[in-house]
Parts: sequence; structure tokens; C-alpha cells
Amino acid sequence: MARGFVRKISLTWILLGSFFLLNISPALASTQSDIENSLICPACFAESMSVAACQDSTAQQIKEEIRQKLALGQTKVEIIKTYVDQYGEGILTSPPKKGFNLMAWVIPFLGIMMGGTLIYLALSRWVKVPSVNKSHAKTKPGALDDYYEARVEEEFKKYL
Amino acid sequence: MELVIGLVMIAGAIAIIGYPLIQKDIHNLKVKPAKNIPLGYEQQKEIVMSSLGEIEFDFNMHKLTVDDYQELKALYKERAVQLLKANDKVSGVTEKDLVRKLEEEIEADLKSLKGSDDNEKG
Amino acid sequence: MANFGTIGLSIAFGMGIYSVVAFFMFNSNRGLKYLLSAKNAVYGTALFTTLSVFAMLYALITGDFSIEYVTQYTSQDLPTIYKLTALWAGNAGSLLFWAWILVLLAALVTVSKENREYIPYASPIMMVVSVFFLFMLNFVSQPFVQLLNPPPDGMGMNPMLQNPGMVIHPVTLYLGYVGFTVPFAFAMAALIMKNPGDQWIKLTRKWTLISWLFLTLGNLFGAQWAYVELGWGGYWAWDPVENASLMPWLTGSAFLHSVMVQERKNMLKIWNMVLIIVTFGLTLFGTFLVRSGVVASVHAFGNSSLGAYFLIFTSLIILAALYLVADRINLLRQGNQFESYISKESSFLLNNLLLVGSAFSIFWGTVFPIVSEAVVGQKIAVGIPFFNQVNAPIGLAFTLLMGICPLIAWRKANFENIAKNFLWPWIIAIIGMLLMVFIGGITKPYALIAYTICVFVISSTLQDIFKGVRVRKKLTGENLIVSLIRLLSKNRRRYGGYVIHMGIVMMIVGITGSNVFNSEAVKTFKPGETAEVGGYTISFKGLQQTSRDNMEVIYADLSVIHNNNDMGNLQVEKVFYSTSEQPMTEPAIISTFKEDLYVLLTGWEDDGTAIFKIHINPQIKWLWTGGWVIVIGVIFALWPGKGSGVGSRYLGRGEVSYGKRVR
Repeated sequence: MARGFVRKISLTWILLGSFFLLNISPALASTQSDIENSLICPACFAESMSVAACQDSTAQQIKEEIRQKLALGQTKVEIIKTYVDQYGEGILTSPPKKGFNLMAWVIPFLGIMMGGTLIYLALSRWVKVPSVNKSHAKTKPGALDDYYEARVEEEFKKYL
Repeated sequence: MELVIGLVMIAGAIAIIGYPLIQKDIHNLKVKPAKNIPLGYEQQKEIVMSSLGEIEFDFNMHKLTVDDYQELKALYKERAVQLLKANDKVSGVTEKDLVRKLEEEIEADLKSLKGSDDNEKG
Repeated sequence: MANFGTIGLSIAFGMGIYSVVAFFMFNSNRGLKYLLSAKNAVYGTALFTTLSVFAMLYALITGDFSIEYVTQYTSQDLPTIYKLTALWAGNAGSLLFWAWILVLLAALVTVSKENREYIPYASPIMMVVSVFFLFMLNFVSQPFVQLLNPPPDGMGMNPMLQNPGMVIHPVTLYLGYVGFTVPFAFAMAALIMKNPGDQWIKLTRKWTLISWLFLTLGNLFGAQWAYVELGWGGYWAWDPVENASLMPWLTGSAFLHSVMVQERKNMLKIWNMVLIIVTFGLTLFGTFLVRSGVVASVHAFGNSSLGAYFLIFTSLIILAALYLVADRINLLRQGNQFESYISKESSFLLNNLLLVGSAFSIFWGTVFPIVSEAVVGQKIAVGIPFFNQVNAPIGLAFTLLMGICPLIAWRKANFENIAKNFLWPWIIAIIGMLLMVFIGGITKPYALIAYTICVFVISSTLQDIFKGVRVRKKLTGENLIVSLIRLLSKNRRRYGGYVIHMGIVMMIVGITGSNVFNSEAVKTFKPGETAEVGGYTISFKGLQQTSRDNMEVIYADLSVIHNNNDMGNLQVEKVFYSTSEQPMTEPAIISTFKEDLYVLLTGWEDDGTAIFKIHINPQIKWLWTGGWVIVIGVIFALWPGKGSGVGSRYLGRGEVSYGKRVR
């Protein structure tokens, strides 16, 4: 098979696969816990503990608020926005995907892509298909070659 | 009390590191790095034979192509044959001995074959 | 006792420095006596550090409150086991514990005969690291500081640390961290000795693997502790401290794989050096994160000047190591060549890319708050959603690789063979997926992909073993059982690795299930009331009160019935420690491979009504069990005797290589 063709196919697969994986987000079980995990408990800024993990009364209160808001039919985005308006972006457990904070999200994958390119370049330097050297001269044939070859065939099995 | 214990500890420490220093010394001794120790026959044999085993194994596992298999197998088999030959030479087994031994074996086989034939007839 | 410990530590510090000097004297040809003396100094350092540790343990057990550390972390009513574990409850004590493991390890390596030629260079490197820790203990964070007016009782231990998980988690984690010093020291020794072959890798293989195992266990025990103690129903919060222990695990895993390429093909020498340097650096970086308070963390030991010292030392030693690599780069240049784009070699490169990429993304996420503050002046949090979203695809991709790589041949693979080998695993995986959708009713895409990949990895691994048995049977004529046993026991490295992979797959199943399908409910029970939650019939009998050792306990007895089976009683507790104002919520858990029922007592009223939070966390038990499977795999791979080591086997068209002899 042509080498270029193989390369193209594998590259396409890798790209398609990673795009696919990137586009479905690992949503948690419920919207409730999704939101709880997206917000920092305002009483625990120092430890940046999420509402979900925090045990104190402020966190309990916010959990209850979220439950009520969800019951009223608000969406995840709306609820999170209310809290951001109230406390600022510092309340988010993850940086929003805009502005400078976009760097947080992009750099890891950029890094991996660069690493991938580096490997690809390294491979294209390292891969050398040695010319097939079928006619390498046999050492002088002896009368007992068959005997020895049979012995090799037997003995290697002991090392298997 | 604690002062005494402390002094004993320090004395102990000095004794531990000082003792080798007052022993007779072997000067300029370097620990030789173990580069290029020639491998013994058994070790060489193990390497070649286990390589052969792995080639055979991988081929049967459908991991090697037929071409690769034949080429690698020939390469390592040749190497193994050389190794066995060389060792036989060292241990004094000459080709003549082997040829005779082989012929005897064949003869013995033939005889037993004949014998069994005779038995069947009888 | 305090003086005893202090003297011990200062002698150990002095002997540590002396050993480095004496090794240097020996290496500059001043005579054998310096080597013997240096080795004795290493043993002496270990001895005197051990004395100090025992002094500290004695002080902790007997409750010698004239020592500040004992006062800060224990109290008279603390159970004895936690008095002992107070050794690693605080800053100074845990440094002492770390230093102790390190010097013991250095002594162990120095005494070992098989390392003889490496000792003059590897031991002093380990001692340099030890000296740093002993310096910290002597001058920066002294454990034996005495109080002028000893109080009658100590302040007690943080209740959260009074848990069996905290007995074992720090020990395993530190063993893992410290263990990576050995391969690092040998790598540097190999460079100094200008012996860049794979000898150092073979000599340190067991250390690397055991350290990796301890790091794995350390992380798992930590997760388990968080799960049973912190009471939020989860086990991993991507806290900087947790990340700090995950990063070296990832790069260490990459190292374990990429050294195989060097052993076999004598390639990737530079990369392996860099990986071990990075891994070692990350173990120290973790300590820096924990002790410095530069990042917000639940686990941090509090702000202290220790961080700065760690940062400086880590940077210096990493720079020195990288300088050494750069200086010897000509020795490390590639020998052999790749023969194809698709081969086991290149699949290891891909594996390394993903593992290191994942470590990098975690590193980036962990330091991003600092970066963000420095660049735009806004301290933004980077938490669970970020790490989950970034690492889930990477994690799935390398799980997939675990199924693919073992089936690819060294040197060169071709598509027809790959297609042939993957046919059945894919068929099984797709059947599995259809079953999950139509019978299991799983529709969440992430879970579906993850499970399908897991089924694929399991079936391709099992297929490889079955096929191996068949081929062996054919070649040797042994019967089925014998050839299975011999196949596995004569290639323990390979099949031990497969067992470890199976453990990882179990962990992936657990992580997926518990993250994607968990659910929770808050229920109020009157005494004697029965209710049904998530298929469990729970009856509440009533609240009771009792007192134990150093705590007052309010607890509720719940009886649980599931599918007409009596699952026993749950005792859910709220614990009031004598030394802490905040009560602790102790969850009660019924754990099965299907799911965990995880119940918390969150509050009660005067009339005996109690409020419970009930989590249902599917498949968490798979995560813990996977950890034990990994232990089995590592022990299997390392069990001494024939079959645990692998010399280089067939190489390819080039010269037949006999490899280098390792004594």
C-alpha cells in the first residue's frame, strides 16, 4: 500500500476522532449537579470549593435556590448567569470560554496538536525502509546444514 | 544526661565514617564499568533462540507478514546455526563424529523399521 | 526526647553532606577508602534520621506536649493509631517522614550489590536530594521545636484526618513520590558515566514500577478517603493537590511505556531522560504546591515559606539535570531507525503524547489562575468542569490505545494483519454497544462511547491471550492448561501489563458510571417512617446519641431493603469532636458492583425528624477494585525469576543484537 495514502488515512481518522470527542461534552447526571459543580460557594472563595462539594449553610442555601429556579423552568445558562451577575466571574469554577480565559481551554489541545506534529515530523525523519537485501550471501554451505537447522527448529521451542 | 547521649551519638557518627578512612587503602581503584563483557554461549543462545521463538509466535499471531517472517526467520536461523556450530567446534564435536552419529541413527531407524516389518509379516 | 531528635537530625544532615563530598573524592580518584566511608555515611544518615523519627513517634505516643508539633496535632484523648499518624499530619512531621523514606531508600540502593558500578554516582545524587530535606528539617521547618510553657493537653488532630484512609494514603503517596528519585538518580548517573544505554532502565525497572504502583494506590486511597470522609458524594475534585499527585502518575506511566522502545530498539534515549526528569520534578512540584499556598486548595498545609525553598531547589535540580542532558546529547543520539509509520514503537509514541498531553493540560489548568492573575489581573478558578471536559476525550483516546497497541507488532505492522486482528474485538464491542442501547437503555453519548471502548479493550486483550495460548499449543504441543500457564508465566512482563490494563479499564468503567449516572435526593424521615429512594426501601428507626473516645456521636439507624434483599443496617453519623467546632458528617455506604447507596445525615428537628441526603453512585466499586487488579498485575510482572525480565528480542533487518549484559 502506498505510504502517502496510509498517512492520509490515519491522519484523517485521528482528526475526525478528536473532533468528535471534543464536541460532545461530558455532561453530568443532572442539571442540578451540573450547576452545583459550575459555581463556587461564595463562602469558600479561599479554597475555591464548589457548591456541590461544600457542606456549609451558604452552599445548602444556594443548592436550594438552584432547585427552585429549575422547578420554575429556568435553564442552566440562565441560572448560572444570575450568579455571575451577582458575584462576578470569580464565582465560576471554570473559566468562561471567551477573552483571555479562552487560553485555558485552547492551550492544552494546542499543546497536544503540536506534540503530534512533532512526533509526525520525527517519524518522517526516522522512518527509513531499508532496501530489501534478499541476496545476502549465505555462509559456505556445509554437509550438516540440514541437521543444524533441524536442531534449531527443535531447540528454540525450549526458549518459547 | 542528654549531653552525654548527644556526645555518644556524635562519636558514633564520626566512628562510622572515619573507620574506613584509617584502614589500609587501595589507591586509585576505580569501579570498572561493565561495558562490553562478552556474553557466554548460553546467554547468546538464549537471545537468538528466544528471538526466533518470538518471530514464530508473532507470525502465528498474525502480527508479522509472510515476507517479514521469512526474512527475519532466515536471518536469525542462520545466526543460530552459526552459534551451534561454533559451540560444537569448541566442545570438540567434529563434523565427522556427527556424520557418523547421524548415519548410525539412520541405520538404527532402518533396522527397527525392518524389524517391525518382519514382525508384521510373522 | 526533643533534644535527642534535634541532635539526630543535625548529625544526619552533616553526614549527608559528608557522603556527597566523600563520593566526590572517590570519583576524583582519591582512593577506595572514600567510597567505603561515603557508603557508611549514607547508612549513617539513614540511621540517625531513623532515630529522630523514633524520637518523634515516642513523643507523639507518650504525649510529650513540651514539643510544639505534638501539641499542635495530637491530644490526650486521641486514639493511639492517630497519634502515630500525626507524624504526617503537619508540615514539619510530614517532611521528616518524607526525608526518612528517602534516606532509607538511598541506603537500600547503596547497599545493593547489583547497582555496584552506579553507586559512586547515583548515591550522591540521592543524597543531594536527602540533604535538601534534612536542611529544611534543621533550619526551616524544625519538628522538635520546644515550648517554654508546655500546655496540659494538645490541640488535637483535624477530625477529617482521623480516618483509616488518612493512615494509608499519605504513606503510599510518599512512597510513590520518593521512589521516583531512584530512576532519576540512575539516569543522571548514567549520563555522568557516559553510559547512555538501557542499563540504568533495567536496573531501576523494579523501583520505577513499584513507585508507580504506590503512586497509583496513593491516589486511589486519597480518592477513597475523600469519598468516605468529606461527604459530598464524590471522590475526585481536581484540587491542585490532587492534580499534583496525578501529573507524575501520568508522566511516570508514559515513562514505563517509552523505556520499552529504548530497551528494544535503543531509541528515544533523550526522550526517556526528559520524561524521568519531568516526573521527578513533578513529584517535588507537588510538594511545592501543597506547602506554598500559591494556589487555593482544600488540602493545603497552609501558607509557609517552605514553598519558596522547594521552588528554588526543584528549579536548580531540574536545570542541572537538563544541562547534563544537553551536554551529553551526542551520546544520546538515535541509533536505530523506525521501519514503518505503523508499529508498536510508533504506537508508544502516541501513548506518550496522550499521557504527557493530559499531564500538560492538568498542569496548565492548575497554574492558570496564577497566569490569569499575572496577565489580566483576574484570579479565575479552574475547577471540575474544566478538567473533566478537557481530560475526558484524552482519557478515552488512551483507553482506546490500550486496546490497539498490544495487537500491533514491533518494527512494522501492516493493515491486513491489523484488520484481521481487530475484526472480532470490534464486532464484540459493537454488539456490546447495541446491547447497552437496546437492553441497558443507555443513551448518554459519553457513557456509551466509554463503555464501548472498554468492551473493545477487554475483548482485544482477551483475544490476544487466547490466540497466544493457541499458538503456543501449536508450536510446543503442550496441552491447553500447560500452555496457558507457561505463556503467562514466561512472559510476565507482557501479561502483567495486560492485567494492569484490565485494572485501568475497570477504573474507567467506575469513573464513567459514577460521573454520568449519579443521582441524589434529599428526604425527610419521621421516626419509624419508611420510604423508597432509587429502588431502595429505607426505614428510619430513630436518632440516638453516644460518645466514643474523643467524640460525641449523633446517629441514625436505617434499615435498607433492595429487590427484596435485606441489605443490612446503615448507621449514619454526625460526629462532634472535642477539639473542633464544626461537626463531621460521616456517610454510611452500601457498596455493590452495580452501585453505591451513600447516605448522609444532614440535620434533624426536635421531634426526632431527620433529614437525609441520599446519593446513588453507580459502579464506584469498580474504581477501587481496579486498583487491586493493578496491584496483582504489578506483582505478577515483578515476581522474581525467569520471565519477569525481557532482553531485547528480534530487532529487524539490521544486525542481530545480543544486547548488553546486566548483572
